[in-house]
Amino acid sequence: MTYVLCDSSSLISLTGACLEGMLYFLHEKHKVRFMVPQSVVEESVNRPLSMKSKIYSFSALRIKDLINDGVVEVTDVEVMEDTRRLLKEANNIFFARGKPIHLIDLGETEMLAAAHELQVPNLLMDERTTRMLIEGPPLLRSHLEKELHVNIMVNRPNLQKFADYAKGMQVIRSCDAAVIAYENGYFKSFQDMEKQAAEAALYKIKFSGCSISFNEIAEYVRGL
Amino acid sequence: MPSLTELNKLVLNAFLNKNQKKMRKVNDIVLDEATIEFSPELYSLAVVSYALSKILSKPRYYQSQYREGFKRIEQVLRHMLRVSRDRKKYRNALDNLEESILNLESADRRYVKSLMDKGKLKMAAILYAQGVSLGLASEVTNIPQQEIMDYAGKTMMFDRMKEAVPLYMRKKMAKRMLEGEK
Repeated sequence: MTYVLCDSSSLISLTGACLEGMLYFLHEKHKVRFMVPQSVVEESVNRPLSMKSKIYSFSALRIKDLINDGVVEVTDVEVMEDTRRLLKEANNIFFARGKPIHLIDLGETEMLAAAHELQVPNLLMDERTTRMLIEGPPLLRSHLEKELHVNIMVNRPNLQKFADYAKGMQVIRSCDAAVIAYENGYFKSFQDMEKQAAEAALYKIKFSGCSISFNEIAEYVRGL
Repeated sequence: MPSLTELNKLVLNAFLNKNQKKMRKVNDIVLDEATIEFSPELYSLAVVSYALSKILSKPRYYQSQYREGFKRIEQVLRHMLRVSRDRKKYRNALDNLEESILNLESADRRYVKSLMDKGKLKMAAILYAQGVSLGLASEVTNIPQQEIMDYAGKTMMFDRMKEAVPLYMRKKMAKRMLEGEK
């Protein structure tokens, strides 16, 4: 049995693509336990359900259903102190013109703090910035320089503290999970269209907001 | 590093000259500044400059029925310039400008989403593309994460940044996590 901590973005793109069934499938087949901190419920269920516009209500209800069915468990781990400290450090890593660039918010930081506290290094996350901060801060720095047209300075001690905190955390995206689900027969019901269905699913997840490039999808498709 | 007053002047000039291209360029500058300065006033100015650039690009807004609306926007922009050193007054003026834009649009509305809402979403997506996280982009613009993801997923933003982890490694991680494979 493995534990995987999910953030809002992964649940949003999976439900947006009508592919949350994949989580039921992996939960049943490999006893994967998907977990979310309370802030994810706030962002992906409560907030869209309270909006006047009903545009994201159905997606929110599908996430709620995942929780009600026990496929996604809500953890109430208390990490506020760690979250606040980490938020301060993470938002003081990169500097432009002597000013810290605010990169991540409370919800994203709480997810990392929960992963640390629960000792669950497996993260399912479709959002790009937090993932890049964990996996490749130098790439994020050059990206910021290119986008903002300024030199970005790095506060090395804060970067080191963040890196130490996130050490061992591994991130996968919904598209990566979809490929594993395909290899385990999730798309079998499509019979001779199985590969086609998996390819279409990858594109659908990307268009729903998963941070994967077209090249990566093409690479996955070649391997299907 | 342009100040809020200077940026406001750029917006006003682009509006007075009815120069849509210039307004879009100003919008780019304002948004870059907003990301660096992390200032709510600059985010709002970015949104309104985007909405104004859309207005300037539509020939129908140059018809006589919109003349009053244009005049009102010009007055508010001039007022914003005068009060740009007073954050509270500036915020009120920004609210007035937002209302003036909504009024202009309401005379002949074509879309469910207003120009201001469109502007907020566009600015949120650009912030995310620039490197600000999804959650923070959502927080500062008050646009739901779902909406930003919907928009971002249909752009090339994820093709514009190199990945730190090769795909075969990522798949290996996914296999280990989801199949329990070592």
